[in-house]
Amino acid sequence: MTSQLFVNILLSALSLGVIYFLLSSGFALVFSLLRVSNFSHGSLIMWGAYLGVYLVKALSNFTLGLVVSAVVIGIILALVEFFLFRRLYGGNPLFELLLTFGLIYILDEAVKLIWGAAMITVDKPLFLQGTVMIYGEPFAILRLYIFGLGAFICAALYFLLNKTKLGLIITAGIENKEMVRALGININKVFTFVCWLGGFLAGIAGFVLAFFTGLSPEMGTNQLLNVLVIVVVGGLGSFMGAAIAAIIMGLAEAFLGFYLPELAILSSFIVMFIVLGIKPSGLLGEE
Amino acid sequence: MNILEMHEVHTFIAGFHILEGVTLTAEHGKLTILLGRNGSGKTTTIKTIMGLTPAGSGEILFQGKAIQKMHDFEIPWLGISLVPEGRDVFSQLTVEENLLIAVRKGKNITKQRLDYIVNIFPPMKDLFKKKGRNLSGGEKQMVAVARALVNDDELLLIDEPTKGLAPIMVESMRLALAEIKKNATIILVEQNFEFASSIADDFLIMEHGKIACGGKIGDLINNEEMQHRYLGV
Repeated sequence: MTSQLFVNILLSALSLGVIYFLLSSGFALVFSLLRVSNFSHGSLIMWGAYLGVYLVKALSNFTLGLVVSAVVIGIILALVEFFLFRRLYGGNPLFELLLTFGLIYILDEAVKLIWGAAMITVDKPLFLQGTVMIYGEPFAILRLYIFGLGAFICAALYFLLNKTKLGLIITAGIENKEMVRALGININKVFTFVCWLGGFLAGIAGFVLAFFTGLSPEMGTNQLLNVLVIVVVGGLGSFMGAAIAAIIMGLAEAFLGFYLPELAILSSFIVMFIVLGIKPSGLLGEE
Repeated sequence: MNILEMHEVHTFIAGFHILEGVTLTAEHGKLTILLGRNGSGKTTTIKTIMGLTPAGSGEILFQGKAIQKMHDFEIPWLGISLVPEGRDVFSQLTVEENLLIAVRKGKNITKQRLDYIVNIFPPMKDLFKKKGRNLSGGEKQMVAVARALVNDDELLLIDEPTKGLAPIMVESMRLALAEIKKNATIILVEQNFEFASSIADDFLIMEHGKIACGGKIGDLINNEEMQHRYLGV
């Protein structure tokens, strides 16, 4: 392998890892604090894609369309938390499973009613078309854009979780909700905000995914397995663990795809078996 | 003047009747010790005052105001702080962050308050950057009490601060509580009678989810029959 080719595969791997990070970050964040496995996360990703593409056209503004759609998806999940999840905390996990699977049906069927079930291709805006030369190899501008977007979001989340009082409350709430309440903090409001943020991230992830897979009602649900594997490999309850796992998944898929293409489809499971074999609690999960 | 009153408070947890009509008063500026055998309802009483295990019936008055129907997160804003039995220092946060998260008004602990805390617990000044998970049991207890002091609250509810501590740490805690009680009312749950009797003003003894008896601590110290009957001393 030439060094140019290596760099090209590495960049592709990292941008793939960033996409996986965007796809899984919302799920990981909600699970970390609320301990709710939101299986409708894939459907929210799909809604982010449809709504984002629709709003970019309607508003004729790429960034505004992306942000407004992500905000709306965030509001949907915040409302779900406020009216539904809140009734299930500390209860039977089966109810949570039934609820989130029910949401999948509602969200998926709603998309079919509005936009139809047929697959829709998504054109890249002009400024994301074409390639740039990096280390003598062409690299898609779209992937660079995603790389930058993912890095920005990762940095923003890191700042929020580690450098603000809200981040301290979220970190503390993940560990001991009762003590947080005993300090005079309305943890329910924090739950709603975290769900809004999880939905916001799902919205952005869906929009980004649309450029690769096009729009289809199954596009988000198809990613759910990857999301779950990333969250488990990162360590249940660890948001930063999920971020690292997403990058590792991207690297594994890209490099395995080059050397052993027939195994590329299994790359995420190979990583999972290796990581959990060495550390059953995942990369940053508590023992 | 009573800072806290409970009248016929009943609390149920997971269908079990834990507090069976607790009636008590705590006098302003005093350290009232809550004694009793394991399972008598001491910790539940503290948690019920804080709204963490809400009262099913009865009345809880803080400075004359009924608080039994308030949300748990609203109660600390009245001026009540809790030091829980398990310390519950957040392991992922530094000591400084553990204190910061407890600040209810403003963004930071005031310098005056920080000096007060360090004066009570001198070893704290070397712990600020240490993560909660890296603290010893005694250090965690210091942080848990310090966290309850950052807001200058009127009433501190402290649950078994000496549990599992080495004798030297127990003595440090005794000195710290003696200092704290100069500026705040304290209700202290304690199993260690020797420790309790050395700092308390008043006592309450719980048995089977009720207050069995109470009074001045001197009366209990001089009554060996009562100590033996209720506390097994």
